[in-house]
Amino acid sequence: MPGTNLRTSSEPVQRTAVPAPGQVRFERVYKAYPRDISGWSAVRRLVELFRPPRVLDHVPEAELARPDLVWALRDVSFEVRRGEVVGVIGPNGSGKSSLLRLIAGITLPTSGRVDARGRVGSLLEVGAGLHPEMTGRENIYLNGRLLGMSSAEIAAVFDEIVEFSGLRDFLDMPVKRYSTGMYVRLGFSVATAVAPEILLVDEVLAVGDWAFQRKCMARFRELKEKNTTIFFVSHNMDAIRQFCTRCLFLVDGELRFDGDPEEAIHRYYAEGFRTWVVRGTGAPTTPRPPAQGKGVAVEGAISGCLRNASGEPVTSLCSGEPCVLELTLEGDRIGEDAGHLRVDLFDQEGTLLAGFSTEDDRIGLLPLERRRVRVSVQFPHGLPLARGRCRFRVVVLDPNGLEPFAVEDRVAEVTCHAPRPQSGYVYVPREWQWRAEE
Amino acid sequence: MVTLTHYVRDIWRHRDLVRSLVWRDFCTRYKQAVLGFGWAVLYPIALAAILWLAFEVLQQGPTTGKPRLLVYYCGLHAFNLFASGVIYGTISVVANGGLLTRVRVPTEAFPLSAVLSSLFDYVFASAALVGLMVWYRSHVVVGLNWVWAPLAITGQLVLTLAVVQVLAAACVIARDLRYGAPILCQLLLFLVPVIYEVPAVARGAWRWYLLNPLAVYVDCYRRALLDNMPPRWSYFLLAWAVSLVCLWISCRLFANARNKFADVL
Repeated sequence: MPGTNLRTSSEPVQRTAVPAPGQVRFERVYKAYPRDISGWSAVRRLVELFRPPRVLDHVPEAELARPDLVWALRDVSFEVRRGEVVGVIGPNGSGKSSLLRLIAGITLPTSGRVDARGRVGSLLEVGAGLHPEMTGRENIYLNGRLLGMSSAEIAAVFDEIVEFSGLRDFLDMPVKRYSTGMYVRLGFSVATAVAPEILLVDEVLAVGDWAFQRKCMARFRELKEKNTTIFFVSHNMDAIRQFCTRCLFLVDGELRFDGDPEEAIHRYYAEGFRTWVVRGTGAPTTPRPPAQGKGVAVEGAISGCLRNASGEPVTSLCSGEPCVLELTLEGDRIGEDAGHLRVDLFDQEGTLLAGFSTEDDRIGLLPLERRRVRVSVQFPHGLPLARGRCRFRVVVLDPNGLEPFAVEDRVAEVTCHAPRPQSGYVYVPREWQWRAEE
Repeated sequence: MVTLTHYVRDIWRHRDLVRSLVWRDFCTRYKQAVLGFGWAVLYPIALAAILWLAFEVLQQGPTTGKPRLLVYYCGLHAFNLFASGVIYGTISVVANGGLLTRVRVPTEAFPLSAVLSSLFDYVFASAALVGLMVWYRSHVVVGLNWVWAPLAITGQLVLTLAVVQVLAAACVIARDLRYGAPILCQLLLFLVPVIYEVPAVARGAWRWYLLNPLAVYVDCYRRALLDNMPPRWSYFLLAWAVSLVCLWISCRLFANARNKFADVL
């Protein structure tokens, strides 16, 4: 399945064999929410609530166009094997959370078939279900049972939970006295204590400090080795890249891409670019213009390459060796008529090493109304990095240098090495002299 | 005096905040409410109507010569088990909304645990009942028919659960049930033999009156504990049957609604 794009036919759902634990299968799944039910009569809403739930076999075109429905997912099909780590990316409101909720079985699809067998661990919000008045110890038991563990199972992993959360000294304190970090640590530790067959993670890494995030990632890796299927929603592309073996890219509830994370991330940024451009040109946002319409940049709008002094593309450089970053901005119209360009250099950990822009360097505005703009940034003294891999990020900004139109996270990558042995990350060119004096 | 002037001065300084808070309460209290401000009008009217029904229509016959305190308390003891179950149970699903939308949990556990938690109140309140029964021991007949009391209580729990499951699900949509449930219980109090006894109910109204399973359970409870008398069998069995059928229906309705909570909450 990886690498396939959206299907558009409308034949009915085909029922196939029951999946094994840890497997997740979506077959032509649609999910609609009523836009606003406040206008409905109470009786209608209650009747709707108590009626047996219906899952339609197929969704007529007319339904998709109904103005009173919001389609959170449209015709989404994929199949995930046990042990895959699947990133789910897409702009806000593209259906990522609905997808996870369907896998968790919290909600039913409007049409289509969702199969997810095995124990599902949800980290849709860390700490959901912790009761503020109860102590940490009581909450471990309560939350564990809410997540479907038996008392024996909780007892078996209790010490591990306490150890991982680092809350041994606070176990008998009501959770309401915990700090946010402690709260999150407790929730996370319980939710991942017993390896679930399927784990759903929704942007949990956004909370918690750096140390905790590292710990979380380590725990995810551990679960991955235990063959847990993981769905990972994040806006942190570095985490997706590091961690996922596969990535689903959603836009407006449609599965636009399913496959290699790099490719998915590339499309994500291209989509981000598209939406920004639509904003920049002042075009109406609904209905959205098709991907190749006017005022819309094509995919791969920002590309680039790092070359050495003799003009050859390089992926490895000696510190201080002169080089040039060549960029191509493509599209019918890239944002506004003119804009600034910023280049950021990051190391592997995502630390910003250097960032500079046409605005900082008083180069003036780039003429973005052209179909293609070529930019080159010369580094006559090379990169002052003694070792490690780093990457260039390129951001196109509005004329005020504030609002980004487009971001390309990884225009070029390069590994640096010092010409002479040294320690540390920064290459310091040096010459030694000595003289003995009486 | 100084404190009061401080108070007034502080409040005056924050008058905009107070206004916003009042407006917020005003708006949120009736959010997702079906009747909205209707409650404020409906409740006194319904209460008046029920009082009229209870005292003018139903209660025509003689009273037993038992001490009123003992009679009231014994009836209330059983009735409150129902009432607190309904009041806590109705909000049980909404109160766990944050959880329901994020984790797959066995939702049916919430109404059930709310009903079972109301047993705590019941057990504590038993102490006072025992005290009263000892105090008025000359009016209490001890005997084997006491065994029917727990059976009445169990039947009542079944009925409570049946009612609670439907109310808890409906409350997801009609948030005003949060206020409606206590009012409902207050009104029911007069349709159940708590402040009067069944023999006091007008003879012609009996048949209809005892179709209410709750009335039968409360009556049975009091007859067993105070008079050492067996239940009124036909009504008692009917009440159990009605309770079980209600529970069956209620479970089906709840199962239908369960998967939609996350979409509505």
